[in-house]
Amino acid sequence: MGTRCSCGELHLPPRALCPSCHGTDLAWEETGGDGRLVAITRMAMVSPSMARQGFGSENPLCVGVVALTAGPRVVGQVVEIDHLTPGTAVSVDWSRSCPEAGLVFMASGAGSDLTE
Amino acid sequence: MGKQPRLSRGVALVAAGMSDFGVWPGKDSKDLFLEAFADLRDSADGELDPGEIQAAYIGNFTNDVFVGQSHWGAILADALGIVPAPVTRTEGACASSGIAFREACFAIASGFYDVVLVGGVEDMSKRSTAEVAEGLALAATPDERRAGLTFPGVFGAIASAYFDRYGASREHLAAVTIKSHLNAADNPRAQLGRSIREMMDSKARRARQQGRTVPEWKDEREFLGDDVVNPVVAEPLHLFDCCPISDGAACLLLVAEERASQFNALPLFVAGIGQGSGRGLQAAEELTSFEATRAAAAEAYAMAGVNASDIQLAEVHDCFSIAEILHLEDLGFFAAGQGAAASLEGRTQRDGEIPVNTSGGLKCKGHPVGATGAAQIVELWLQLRQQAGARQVGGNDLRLGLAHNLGGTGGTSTVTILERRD
Repeated sequence: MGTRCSCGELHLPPRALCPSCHGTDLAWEETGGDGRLVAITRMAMVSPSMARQGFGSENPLCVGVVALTAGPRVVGQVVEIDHLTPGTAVSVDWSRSCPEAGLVFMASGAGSDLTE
Repeated sequence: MGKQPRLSRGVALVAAGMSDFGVWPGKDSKDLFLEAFADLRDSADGELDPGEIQAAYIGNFTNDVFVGQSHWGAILADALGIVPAPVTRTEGACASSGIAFREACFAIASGFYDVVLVGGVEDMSKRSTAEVAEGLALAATPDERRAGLTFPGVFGAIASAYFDRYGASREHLAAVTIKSHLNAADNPRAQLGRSIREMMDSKARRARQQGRTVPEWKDEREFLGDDVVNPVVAEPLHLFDCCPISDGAACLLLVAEERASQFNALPLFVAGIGQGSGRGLQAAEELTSFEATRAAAAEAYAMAGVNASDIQLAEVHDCFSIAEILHLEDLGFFAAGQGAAASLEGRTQRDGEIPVNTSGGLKCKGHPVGATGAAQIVELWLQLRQQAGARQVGGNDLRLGLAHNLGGTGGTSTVTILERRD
């Protein structure tokens, strides 16, 4: 869920103050989970907290910047994609996304039940 | 910006010094800062009486986390023997002492103080690499941190976007790295003071002595392309694209312009200062440019009444090789998308059209984060006064130098332009 300002701008994550027009007339709006990668990295060296989750040189942590079809960009982990390049179509994997990890993306069409 | 930015009173730099940058298990922040201060005292003409210092602004980012001690302003005031002069700690991630410099300029320009010390210090090496990466990531945005990004990850992602947009490759990054090492080899204070060629030769020598197969790299680029000696950190960035973990300090003495000659016969003058803020990867206007840097540069150039083409040398915030390329463009030295090719063509080398990071930069001089902004200005001090030794930029009419300091994912940026006027 994002917020749409009366000036037309869509924000994700949601905001209480529009950074463009400084207005506060905002309404909730679904953004959907589809988009494409605009930046991607595969991290072999990770922080201690990610290492405790099993990431590291043997299991690199992939994090991408995704431009959602709805407009906003988000940062999230990317899983189960062999060739990670900007331009790759991705979708949110709702079964893996959670408040702690944030949004987790997978290749579009690879689909968990929840996205179909 | 509506009106012409200006300082209501001129500010001069009359002394500058830094500690050796490196990994110093036996030194704490106080030791490092006093080392920098001793170097600063040597750079002034005559005896510098610390009792003349009326106030200080000191940048520090991570000591709370890495050494479990906060409140460094007061600790350093005591160490320097300047109590009860007020000392303010500034924090803007890796731009902490760039901010300190600008605040000190305002303090003098306002007429409130005549003599102000600026500095920065960081003590990072007592923690593991992974702990340091996690600690530094405190300056990333909440969204970036939740996804598990460290700064190598942030700049790895930015590099992927730059490569995709402009068709650059690791070959361009390698050109930046090779230049940084070459410059640092001539800087006795640098943490990584060896050229890539020297490192190749020494690895080959060791292999020969130990009876192992002697590696044969054709040139520096082939060495950097070898994943064994240059392993991946955060694709497409490898180890040699990243600055080291460093301990160090730097400090500068700023005074009201009319007092300059009392401290130094060859002062430098603050021609322009600028600072801007920006947003993280999820909200930035673009992924291949920092709006904070563009704003800070525009302000500093306007104040100085100069353009990028007037700048004769620059120290830029090359925490990663790709970062230097972006900054070359954001500071206006090269057009968007041209920074990579310019680096490959040698245009930023010491003898190029705009020498960049003659100190070795963050990449090789070292990056004790809170000290970096002040240390960049130490390099301008040495170069503009023709005291940079083996790495001195040629030509004896060096007058304008620029320092650029960046914090976080471009969340904060400062630009400082110094001028020699004699």
